[in-house]
Amino acid sequence: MAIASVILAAMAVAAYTIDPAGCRWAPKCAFHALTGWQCPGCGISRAAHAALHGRWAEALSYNWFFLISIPYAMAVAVVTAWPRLSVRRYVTHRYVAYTYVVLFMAWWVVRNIAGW
Amino acid sequence: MEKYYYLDSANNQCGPVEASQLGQCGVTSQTFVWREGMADWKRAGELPELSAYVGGSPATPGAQYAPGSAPMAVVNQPSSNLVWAILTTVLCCMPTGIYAIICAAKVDTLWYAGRYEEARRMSRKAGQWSVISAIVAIVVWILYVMWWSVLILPMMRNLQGVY
Repeated sequence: MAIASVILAAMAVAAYTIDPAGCRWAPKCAFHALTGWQCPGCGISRAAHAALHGRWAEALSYNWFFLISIPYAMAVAVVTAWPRLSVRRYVTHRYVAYTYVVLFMAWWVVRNIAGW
Repeated sequence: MEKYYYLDSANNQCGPVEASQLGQCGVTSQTFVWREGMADWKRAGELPELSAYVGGSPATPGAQYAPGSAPMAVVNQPSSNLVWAILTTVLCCMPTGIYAIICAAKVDTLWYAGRYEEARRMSRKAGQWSVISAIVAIVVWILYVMWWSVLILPMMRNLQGVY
């Protein structure tokens, strides 16, 4: 948990200071590099950079799926840190996780067709 | 030193605490305790290794524990590793991350169904596939940076030399 917090903090600092769009060494998406298509996570680091600088509209334009994935990841992180919370049953329920996977796949297809 | 969990008078699971701390927590010989490796909760008085730490006869009756009931499950329940699985799909976008989510999603359901061994196996699998996705993503990133710096940049420099 402590290690995870340190990694998250380091990532936040990196996302704030480095502009992924203007840096050749910034992490690149393997899927995008190989196929030229956008993966569901593409734009997350640019979005994080913009959001941390308060540019919310720009952040959304890079990848609005983080409105779903980040809150869900946070909810799961909370029930992992406090496993005795009663909402755990719902947050980590199979169908909730499957719904997330389906949305993830749908977003993958839709963004490449619609060019989002 | 072994850490113990115990049930308070309202049957809530508490701990883990060191064996030597049990007495201060109000654990008596009638209180149900459990540690890693025990099949089920036992009264502290039944465990010889605790005789030095817990009082003889209790002032108040201990918890009304029914063997095999829920608290045991909470103690041992493996982490679903779902956080890592989700983060790998968001940050590394590997198909292996999706497999990790599917594994992680089964952990709690298997556990509540009483299939403890399978739940533990799924938990480990979800963790392993999350790590694999992260490693693959980092390796690809390094290859990508090398591809750019070793092949493309020198090539561009050569082209500029031609003009």
